Amino acid sequence: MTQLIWIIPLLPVIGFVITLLLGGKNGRFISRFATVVMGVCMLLSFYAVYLVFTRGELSIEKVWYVTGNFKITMGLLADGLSAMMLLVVTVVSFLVHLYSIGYMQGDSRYWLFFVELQLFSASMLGLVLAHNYLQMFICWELVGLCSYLLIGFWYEKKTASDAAKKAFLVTGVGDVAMLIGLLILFTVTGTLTYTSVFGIAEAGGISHNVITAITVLLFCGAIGKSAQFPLHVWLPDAMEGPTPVSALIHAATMVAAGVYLVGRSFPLFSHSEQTLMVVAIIGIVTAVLAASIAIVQTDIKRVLAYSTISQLGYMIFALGIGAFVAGMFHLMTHAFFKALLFLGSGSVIHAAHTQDIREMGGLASKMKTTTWTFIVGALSLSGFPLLAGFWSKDEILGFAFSTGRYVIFAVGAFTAFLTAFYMFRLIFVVFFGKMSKASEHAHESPKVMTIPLIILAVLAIIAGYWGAPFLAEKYHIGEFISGHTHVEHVEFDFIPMIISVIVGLLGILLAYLMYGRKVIPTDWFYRFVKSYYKVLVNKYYIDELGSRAIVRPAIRFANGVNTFDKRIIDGLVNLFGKVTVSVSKAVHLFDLGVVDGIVNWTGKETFNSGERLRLLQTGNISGYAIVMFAVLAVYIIYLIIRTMF
Amino acid sequence: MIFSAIRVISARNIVHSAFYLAVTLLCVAIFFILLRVQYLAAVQILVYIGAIVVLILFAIMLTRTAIGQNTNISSRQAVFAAIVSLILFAVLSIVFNITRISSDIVDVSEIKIIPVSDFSNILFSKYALPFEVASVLLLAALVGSVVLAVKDRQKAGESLEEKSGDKKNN
Amino acid sequence: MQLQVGIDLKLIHFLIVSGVLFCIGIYGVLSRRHLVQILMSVELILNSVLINLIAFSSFITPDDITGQMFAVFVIVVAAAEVGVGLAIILSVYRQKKSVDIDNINILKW
Repeated sequence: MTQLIWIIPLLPVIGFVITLLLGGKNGRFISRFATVVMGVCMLLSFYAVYLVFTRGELSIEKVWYVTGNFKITMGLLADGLSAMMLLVVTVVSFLVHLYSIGYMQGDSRYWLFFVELQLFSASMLGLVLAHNYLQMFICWELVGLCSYLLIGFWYEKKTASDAAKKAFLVTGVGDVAMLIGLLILFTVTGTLTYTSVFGIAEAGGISHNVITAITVLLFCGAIGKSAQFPLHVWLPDAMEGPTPVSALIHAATMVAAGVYLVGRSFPLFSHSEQTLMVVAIIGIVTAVLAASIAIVQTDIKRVLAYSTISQLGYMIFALGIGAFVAGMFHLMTHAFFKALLFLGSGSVIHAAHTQDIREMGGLASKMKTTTWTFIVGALSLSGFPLLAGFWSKDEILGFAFSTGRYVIFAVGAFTAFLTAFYMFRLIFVVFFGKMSKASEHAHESPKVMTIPLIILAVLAIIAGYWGAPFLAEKYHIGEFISGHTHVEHVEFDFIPMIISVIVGLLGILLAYLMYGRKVIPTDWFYRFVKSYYKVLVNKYYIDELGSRAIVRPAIRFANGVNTFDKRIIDGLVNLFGKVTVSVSKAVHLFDLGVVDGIVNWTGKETFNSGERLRLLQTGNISGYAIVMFAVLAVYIIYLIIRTMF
Repeated sequence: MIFSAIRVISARNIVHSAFYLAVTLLCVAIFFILLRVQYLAAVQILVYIGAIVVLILFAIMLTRTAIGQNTNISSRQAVFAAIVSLILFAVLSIVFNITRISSDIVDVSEIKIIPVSDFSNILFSKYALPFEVASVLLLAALVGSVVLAVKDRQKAGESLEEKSGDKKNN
Repeated sequence: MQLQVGIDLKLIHFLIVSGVLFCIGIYGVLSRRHLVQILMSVELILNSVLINLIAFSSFITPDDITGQMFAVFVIVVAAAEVGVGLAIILSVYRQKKSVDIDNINILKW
């Protein structure tokens, strides 16, 4: 198996090629086929995890390209961390494939969806299994490409194509910084393989400032991909894509790639306190910012999008404060319940034919499975005791508290409160309350869609136990994924746990009061924070800021360059053309005047000289005779002269 | 002789000019005698003076509108002509001076006289071909002159035919 | 028969005479207007040639009579030529009613 680990990423590649070649008419077959491929992949990754668990990491390495001293090796690495990611990616991908069979039914480009899903899965697996930064970067970009393709899947809608472009460009900003960081890293260490780099860093081979620079730049890539402040603006707009896409890419996997990057590079990051501080600050700011926007959103998917941003912020700041295990653990649990929530919302949208929660209501009676799985997801997210989210989120906050970062802890707790609030606001508005017109016609989704929901719900509950503090050390996820990295272990503390539980329950309560029972009128809140509400609704005007500061100047610059191109460069070309034309005219004149002139002159001269010569014919015989004798005389003189000399 | 030659070309009256020509030719004959080619001198007198000058006189008579008229005015190009001939003369003299005639071998008095019989022998043996050619030439000249000078060609032809026709009929 | 000559005659004398005669003849050809006079000048030229020939023959190769032969033929040719020339003159006279050489210019441009 060690040598065959490359089969895992290869399977979706084969799937991609086959589905691409099969084309448009075989939609039914393609969708089932793709799902089966992912299923097999998933089973293989279970096996891989088992192997890693029992035997330690698996890795293969091959030299790819050599010139002199410069050597690029390609390879796959499956240690604890990537094995865990493998698990997450394949499970969620498989379930999304299954769900999409039902959800995308009837779409004109049904088959293409699965082709692109396969491509994405292949890229994502390549990313997590890469054993060096170069491979990871290649897959990083590929994943970005798939995101673009899938967000803009319904490209006839202008909002969708715009959103795809926005996603690509915004993440691209981060990617550029990341690339620079990689280049610096390569220049300094001469290698990009994880193990080599970490070894050099450990041995002190890279100066402190350089490490800080490299890690900050790498983190920029993570900011882009994982939608942290300030590059988070693309994720809400990415909701234009089909819901399975949002579930797979923008909740569970691609956005987690940034977190994975930081986690993978943790040995590097831990050498620079400045970077870690930046990471933590950005993480916590993002978390609270996004949560605050989420509470006033009216589009079901956007609520979830901001929630994702917020939770990613949690993961990031966890890594920033050194809670490596907690952060990665939260990544896994979040993947499950966020995917669940998205697929559930997809189910709702499918039934109610709208995304606006104000048009929904009372769906609980119509869609039982969806409702209950959704509630399970929401509870897990809110950190309800004994569900997965509880263990992971709690561990983060606990770490913060125990390491004395009380400010971060407080903000994190407040964010947890907001999280619970907006999730249950969503639930009460959508599933409970008065039946809206749209909900009248709603019906439960087909089994192929509800089964993934159920599976995910189960996972949302049980996945947490892998990281439960009472679990024996050798089975604990912490031990599994730590591997080479040195992580802090903190004592389990009850206080943060209790605080986070209370905060969560408070959030649920407030939502219930405001939206469930309508005891507290919603206006009260709005009057209370009227102006602030406006800001929240407009997402802190970040988009507008971006538009003014960046987009418009960029467009003006592009226009300026265009004009320059048109006027000057085209002008030059046209001028050149005109010059050529006038030169050719001149040449023509020359040809006409001079050359023809010469030809005509020769003709005329011949004629004229003939005229003149004609005069020689005087008819005067004695004249002729004189000429004859004169010539004779000259000839004789010539002969004399010749014989004389 | 030079004097008479000059008079040939400068005489106003053409008949006079013809007579001067005769005189010149006579002088040439005398030269021949001096040079001990008496036979040739005789031939010269006979042929040249006897035939040619007479012919010229006939021609003069036939081509004049009235006898006594002065018609030989020298041409406008006299100057040029003079120049040309003088140049030629200069050239000739130069030539004569330059060419080395290896002395005047012979004194005139010692020039052997060749008897006429030798002359005629050689004429008919060694120079037989030129002799024949010369006779043909004379024939051609004769016929040519007759053709050219006949007054009315058609009439002549008709009269010839008449004559031949008469002979046939007869 | 032998003649006594007073002056010592040299070849050069004869050559000069013939040369002069020749030039006179040329002058006559070029400058006379009467056709017959031109013909007469031509005769002068021919005669100068004769003198030349005979002089050379006598002085240089006294035993050879080639020069005399040549002279005979020159005379023959001169005679023929005069005959034809005069015939031409007669027919020209008939056409143009004039023997002025300046009137014979049909070949003028």
